Amino acid sequence: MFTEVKRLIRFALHYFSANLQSAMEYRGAFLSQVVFMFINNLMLLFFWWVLFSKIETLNGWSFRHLLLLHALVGGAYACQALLFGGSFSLSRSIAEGGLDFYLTLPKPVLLHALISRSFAAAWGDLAFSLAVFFLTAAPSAGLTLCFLLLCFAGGVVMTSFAVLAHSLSFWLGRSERLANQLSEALLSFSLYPEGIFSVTTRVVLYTLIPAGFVAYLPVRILDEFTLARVGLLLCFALALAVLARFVFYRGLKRYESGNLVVVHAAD
Amino acid sequence: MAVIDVKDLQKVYRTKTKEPGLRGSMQALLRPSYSEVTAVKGISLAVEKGELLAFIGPNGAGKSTTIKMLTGILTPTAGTAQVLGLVPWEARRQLAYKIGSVFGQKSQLWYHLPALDSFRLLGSIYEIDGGEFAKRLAQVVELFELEEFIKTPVRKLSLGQRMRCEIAASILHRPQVIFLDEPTIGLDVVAKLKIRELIKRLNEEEQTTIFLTSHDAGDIEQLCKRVIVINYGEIILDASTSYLRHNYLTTKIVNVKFASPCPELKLSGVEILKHTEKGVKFRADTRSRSMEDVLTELFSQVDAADISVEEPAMEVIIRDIYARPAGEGEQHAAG
Repeated sequence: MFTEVKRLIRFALHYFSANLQSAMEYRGAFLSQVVFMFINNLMLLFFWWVLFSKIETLNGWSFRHLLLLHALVGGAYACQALLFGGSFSLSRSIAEGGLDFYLTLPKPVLLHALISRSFAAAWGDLAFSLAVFFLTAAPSAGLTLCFLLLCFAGGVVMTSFAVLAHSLSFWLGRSERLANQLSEALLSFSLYPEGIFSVTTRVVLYTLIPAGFVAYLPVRILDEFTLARVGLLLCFALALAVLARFVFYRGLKRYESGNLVVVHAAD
Repeated sequence: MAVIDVKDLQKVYRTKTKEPGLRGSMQALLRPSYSEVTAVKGISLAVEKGELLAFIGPNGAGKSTTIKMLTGILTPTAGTAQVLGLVPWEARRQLAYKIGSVFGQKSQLWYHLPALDSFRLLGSIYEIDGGEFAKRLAQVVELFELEEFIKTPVRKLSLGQRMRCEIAASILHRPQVIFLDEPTIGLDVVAKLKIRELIKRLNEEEQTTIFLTSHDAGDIEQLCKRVIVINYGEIILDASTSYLRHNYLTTKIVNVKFASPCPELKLSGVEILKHTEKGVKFRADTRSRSMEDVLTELFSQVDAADISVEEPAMEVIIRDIYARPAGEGEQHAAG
């Protein structure tokens, strides 16, 4: 078991390196994507800065909370886009026969499909996330480790949610747009402070669209660390990953392949 | 012992049907209707170790679906199959270490990276350790003559070079059986010849069993000893290539461009399709007269600047097989 996990990690690192090499083939495009993503994220914060310059708090959320929220969501998104970039196009792979390649190789199909792509622009999200975190929290080594763990857990939640949404294609046929809309809904809700939502909406955000586990709960953990909260977040991330895996493999039994021309090119 | 053993393999797809036009689309939205399409209708075949088998048929005949079932990509609706003693759709990952596959329309190479990087990644996927990988890579590079372009990004390779890399990538882990689905698709004549030569060497030097699908009659004639023809999901011929050659690949269309004008030409036993001062196009039937005879007679009258020979299209071969009296073309012993 341990050897198998070690092998899978080595295999994932190999893919990560190949994706990075592929992205860096076009130096100008790579660097500009990273820089513009960083600026794009800063612009979002700018609007919140304007708002919070007029009010102290928003239903219990201060500007500091909001900075931490954006750092955490940026980190979680970077984790999904850099490590599991295939989750953004799973639906297309299902509908167009793109899983054939992974099915002919001796590795787990879902993991292989997820790690096979990586988005260069997400390096900008990662840089933004770390910069905002360090400027906001003036962190210790322990807090930094905790932040990275929370980002990773958030990334797992986002990836698992995307896998569930994209797996609908096994039953509905081509439903890439629906899957992308669901993933974008998760991201959008994650970028707003929990305090502005009603209780009913919050229930949805801790269940059906789990923005609470990507953003709100992690902010609370950074604000006031308790093991119970960390445990809850990790358990939810793990459970969602297990559910996503289960649904994907149930769907895979319905997979019908396809005949489109396919090449491997990183974005 | 057969390395591939297939019995009554069947694949049925359920597809949505709709009437044409907007009204049809609206009806399908409210009340969808489905029909069943049988892509493979209970085929049976056995392939022995070291065989180089052609599995041919027109578009939509069921070739790719059969290969996808034999590689574990698709689960059949009915029937059984074993590849190297394993049921592909049940032991897919275990089987993947023992087989290789190349789908002509789907690349396994990274488009922006040199083929060498893809090879290294595949080495990691197949868990080939460093020393063994270096040794195997050197063998493959030599066998497929990749030295010149192995460090060039794949996007800059010609289609022929890319296909050589694709096949090389699929044999790094020393598969015992390799499935080649249309490996010469889209290639020019020179590249096709090179790929055929490499497939032959792979079969002879590494004793790899090769299951080849192709649309190109030339691939079969030059490479395989046995051919299985599939159409509408059914095997309509399982015979030796020499049987196919003598009975179905007999008509050739020959195009000759003259080196100097030749207003008059006499060729017996062929059907002249077009003749001008600059060239001639004719149809020859090798059953009535050998190509060597025809070309000898031709060259005794003219000097040729260029010459090309077209094989009959797959559709024509299939039509001929159906046109033969029942039983004549079916299940001829190969060899």
